[in-house]
Amino acid sequence: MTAPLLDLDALGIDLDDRSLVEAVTVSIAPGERLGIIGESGSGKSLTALAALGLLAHPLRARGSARISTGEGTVDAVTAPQRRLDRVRGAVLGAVFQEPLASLDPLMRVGKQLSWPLARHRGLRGDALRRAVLDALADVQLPEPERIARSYIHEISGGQRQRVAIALALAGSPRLLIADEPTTALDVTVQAGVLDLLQREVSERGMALLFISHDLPVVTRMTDRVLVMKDGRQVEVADTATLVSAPVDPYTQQLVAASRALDDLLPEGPR
Amino acid sequence: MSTAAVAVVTEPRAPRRARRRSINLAVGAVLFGLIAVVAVVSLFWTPFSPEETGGGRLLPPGAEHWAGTDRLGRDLFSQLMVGARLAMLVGVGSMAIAAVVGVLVGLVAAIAGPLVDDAVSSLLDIAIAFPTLLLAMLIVAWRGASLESAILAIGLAGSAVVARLTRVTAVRVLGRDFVTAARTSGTGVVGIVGRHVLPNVWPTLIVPLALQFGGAVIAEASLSYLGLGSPPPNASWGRMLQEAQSTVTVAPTAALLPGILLVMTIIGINLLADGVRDVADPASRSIR
Repeated sequence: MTAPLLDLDALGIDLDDRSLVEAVTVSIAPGERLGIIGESGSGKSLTALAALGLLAHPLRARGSARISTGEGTVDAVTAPQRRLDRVRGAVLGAVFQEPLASLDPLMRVGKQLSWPLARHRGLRGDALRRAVLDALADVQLPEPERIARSYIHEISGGQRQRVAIALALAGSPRLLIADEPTTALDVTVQAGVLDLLQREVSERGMALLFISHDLPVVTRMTDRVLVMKDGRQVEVADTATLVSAPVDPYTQQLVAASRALDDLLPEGPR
Repeated sequence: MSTAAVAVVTEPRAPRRARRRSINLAVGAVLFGLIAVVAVVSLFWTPFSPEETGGGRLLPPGAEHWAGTDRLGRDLFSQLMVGARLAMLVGVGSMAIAAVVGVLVGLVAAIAGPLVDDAVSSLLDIAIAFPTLLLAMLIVAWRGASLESAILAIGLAGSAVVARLTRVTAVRVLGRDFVTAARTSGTGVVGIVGRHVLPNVWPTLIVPLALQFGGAVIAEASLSYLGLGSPPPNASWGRMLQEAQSTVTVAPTAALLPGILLVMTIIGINLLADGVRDVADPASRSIR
């Protein structure tokens, strides 16, 4: 197996002297799609933020989260922010749950997208403008020119999430972290965004860290799943194995719950 | 299309508030605009030189001296015009100082981490509790009475409130997801502050800064009244009030007019700020 892109080793997160996340140990190889599933408050998002080195002040990380940059590794737990600024965007990209909150309300979409494009690809002027429109077209937004001129309150929720995805992809990251990227969207819009993520991941050969509380969605998006409960790692297994033969009682419960829902529906979600 | 939807939702309860806010805005703009125009005109033209002592002493308003003359025979109208210029200068100058110093200090407190933040915040508490005029007097005592001292003193005194407000707003903006998102795309601290924090902090500062302008005009008048403002022959409204005090029974207009202009300026800028706030109030716009 090649060296992992992201290697979490006994990663823990503390708030003062309370432990919120305990000993998460998992790694993601280039091109691999890993899911993290768990209920609200199980520490999924904190784990992702720690991997990005973006825990806000009172929160503290333990253990290590080594990111492979191609020229070496950077530990997101200990590395200074200036070093991480060069890794984020270029090696790791991230899409968050609520697109309305994760885009600047006072900046036009095109402008917002032009910053990371200029930074990571060194573009200026016309080339930059074209790259912005290309990036918007790439995430299948209609009328890229109009979207580029819009503020985020002028476009729909699904369109916002596509813009957020375009932003995350601007630096051509090798690992995309998607933290509940469809939870805030209508079910019909969800499917489109998931399709887009899937396509971008396979076309670019990116690795994916997909965080969700929705087992069917995780099953569809990932090769391997990490189950979390109350800040602890419950089980890591291949997605197919996990669904067919869950080992831990909590995982069994999750799978059973989702089965029960499936049985109520005229046909499965996949 | 979304703006149309918002308009439809707001309409039923909008008319009265909308009318009130547009009246505020209009009255404020007219009052303040008038003073501003007078201030600009005074740069090129005043009926007499404000220092010229040629006319009779303590003349009532008339055809030649529109606002009368003071006890040294100087034309009051000309002095009032120059006073408007000084008021504008003090307002703009100290507002700019308050904005620059306040925003810088507030941003540092918001970004630098808990130790610096606690230290700066406690200092700001003290600075805000400290009376503006007393601080101004200290600075005037240190630098000597001049227009620059007054502007500096008033600006610094006002910067504490601006810093506090900037800190609170910046901390809130820094906690928003779009900042995290920008950081995940590799934007450094400087980029975050320049592109995301400042543009999102500015709107909350507009109104307090406008109010700062009004406060600065009053503070300067008070300093000048106490003889700590710009020294003669600069005709500050505050000094005119002080000079007119001894002759107020004989020539009441000399005391009334600077007072009226002061009130006009303050009411004007406050109404203007109020109107701008109503128009820019997110609560009345962002119905989604």
